[in-house]
Amino acid sequence: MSEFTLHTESIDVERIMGQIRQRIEEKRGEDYTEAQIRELANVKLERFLKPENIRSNMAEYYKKRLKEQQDALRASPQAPPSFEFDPDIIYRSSRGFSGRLLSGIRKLLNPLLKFFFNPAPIVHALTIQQQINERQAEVISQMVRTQTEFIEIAALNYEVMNNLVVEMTRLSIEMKNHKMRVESVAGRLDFDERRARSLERVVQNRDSAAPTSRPSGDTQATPPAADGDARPPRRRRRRGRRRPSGLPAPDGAVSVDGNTGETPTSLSAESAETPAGPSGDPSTPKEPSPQPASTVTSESSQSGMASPSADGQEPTDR
Amino acid sequence: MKLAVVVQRYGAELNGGAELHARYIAQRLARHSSVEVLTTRARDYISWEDEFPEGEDTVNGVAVRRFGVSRVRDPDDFGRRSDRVFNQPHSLNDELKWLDSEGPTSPALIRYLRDHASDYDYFIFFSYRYYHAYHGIRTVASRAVLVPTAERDPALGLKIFGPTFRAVRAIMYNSHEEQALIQGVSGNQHVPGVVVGVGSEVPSRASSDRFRQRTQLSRRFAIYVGRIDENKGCAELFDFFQRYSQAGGQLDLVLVGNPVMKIPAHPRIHHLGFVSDEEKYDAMVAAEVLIMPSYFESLSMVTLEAWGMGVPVLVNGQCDVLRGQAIRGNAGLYYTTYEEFSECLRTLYRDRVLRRTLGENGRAFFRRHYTWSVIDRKYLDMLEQLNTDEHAGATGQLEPMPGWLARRRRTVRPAGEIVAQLPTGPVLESRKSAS
Repeated sequence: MSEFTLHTESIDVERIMGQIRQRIEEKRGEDYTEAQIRELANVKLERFLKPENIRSNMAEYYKKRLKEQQDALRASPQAPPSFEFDPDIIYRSSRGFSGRLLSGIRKLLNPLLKFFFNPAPIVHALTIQQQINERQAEVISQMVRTQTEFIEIAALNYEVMNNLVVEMTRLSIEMKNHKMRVESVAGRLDFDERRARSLERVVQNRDSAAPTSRPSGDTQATPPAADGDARPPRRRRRRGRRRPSGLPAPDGAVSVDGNTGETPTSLSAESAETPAGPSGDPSTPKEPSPQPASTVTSESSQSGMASPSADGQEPTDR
Repeated sequence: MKLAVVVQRYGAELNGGAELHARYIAQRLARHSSVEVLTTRARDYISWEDEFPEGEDTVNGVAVRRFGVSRVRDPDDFGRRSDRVFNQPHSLNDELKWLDSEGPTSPALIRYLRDHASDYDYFIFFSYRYYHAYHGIRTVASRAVLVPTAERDPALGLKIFGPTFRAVRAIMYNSHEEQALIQGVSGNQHVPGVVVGVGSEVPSRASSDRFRQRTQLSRRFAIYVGRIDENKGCAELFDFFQRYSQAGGQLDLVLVGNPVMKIPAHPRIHHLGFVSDEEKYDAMVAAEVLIMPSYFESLSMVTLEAWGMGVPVLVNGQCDVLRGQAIRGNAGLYYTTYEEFSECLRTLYRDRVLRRTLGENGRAFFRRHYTWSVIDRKYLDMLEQLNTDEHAGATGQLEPMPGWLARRRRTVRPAGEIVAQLPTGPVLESRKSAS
């Protein structure tokens, strides 16, 4: 996260506000601007802001909805039953005994009727029509079922898509947060490494400035330069691997127990007592400061406005 | 020099913005000139009912003459007329009826001005939008000085006020933003004007320790001082603060003032109620920052007082005046969204250098522009200049009122529409001169 420097004599409120807005943008992430978030909210992504509104009982909801639709279909006015048609139906009567008598008379007079017109094509047409009606009813019923299923699937798809968008967005935001945390941790790690290097260099300088502490049998010690003001040669010091006592160290290797005479035995204690320096700059070794590391961090930001800590908590007052 | 301060209400106990402003100015000018206050008998700014006794009175050593109000306000009638003139095409006559309906309708005051115009050198009118200012300026335009106390509200767009702004001899503005608004709506750039505002006397010794001992409040806090009212942006303030607190913000919120809305029960919101001036200033210096959430301010005296005490402010950036002052004085931050509110508070909380610098800038800004000696000088200089111009023949020119038929033609645009087209944002061109 970026920090910005405040020069007290040339404070500019607009510039500070610009930096605050920039910080807000960094926190918010790059994918979504305020306008985009509002636009998303307008297209039924209020749930984006209110995750509690996402239905967890979606299956029950759809079952209930299906049942409601079926009930609605049942409640709708039923189509009239199909008319059973046969060639004799035009002669029948529903008046009981007289009806049967009437039907017989009609059949008797049928040749006379056929003398006036031919009823056979009418009977045939009505039979065909009855079959057509039955088929149409079946097709319509199938279409209704298909349509209902389609509506259900579309709604289900929408819900699923919506949930996916919500989850994806949440993951995106979480990823950004993690990214920022990683950056913060990386920054701290870098700072710690630089501080460690600086401390090591301070210890080195002390070692070279105090040759009397070396053991008398040190045969590898470099003699002082002839001109007297030359700096002692800088030696890259490596920490040797700790071995079990009794095992000899290889030639030239530095041993923490001082067997080779390269390193004074007080090194480990001294570095443990040396507190963190005020700067992590490895190029400028400095005298150790008595301040603890946390204080140093706070004071070092006196010239600039400190960024908030990665966990969102505010640092102490400066 | 004899001066008359003409204002809609006047009294030692009246703490409304323009009325308090008028009282301060009258008392200050009384040190240099003979001052008389001409006002109504009203105490309540909604009904304008006569409550003070008629006739002459004295308030804090300043002579006051009160006149009766001929009608009290009918809120329904006023609401209907406001809707017509603010939102619909209308006539000049509609606007005049709106003005009568708004009140305080005091023909006796206007008659007195007409009859005694020559008794005074100048009339200083406060609040352009009321009956007394409109008719008073039309009566004594050649001696009228206006302190408009205008905000960005639809009344500013009414056509009847254009001639008023153009006819007065001088205008004493509260802020650069107010000046820009009035010049934008009336085109009165030729009228002498100066940004003055109002002064304040802040104590030289206020004690944060005294405040903390009294309240047993040990945590660091932001403070709001004033009427706790939704119209002052307090609802938004409470919403933002609770979110800020929930998100880990460390500051508490202390409220000073009488509530006219419900204050949310929150462990980190502390309401102190109405307190004495000493307690108020103690609380201010103990605070890390003063928050001013109001959307509409022609001049926030509390903000000026905070600056006078060296306290930084966080103001609502939607209010052009507050934002402009914060920028010009480099003395405060501003917000327009919750994110900005939260981030500004966090920044101010953790950066002592920034707080101190903003506070010091505020103190310097206050001393440059809002100490009474500066305010007095600006008024006296303006009156002196008017006196000189008068000898040179310059007087206010009042435009004649349109004829009977023209006043009834419904050709005037809605006032709200006109105000919406006025320029927005803080005035920054004058930043260098102001700072």
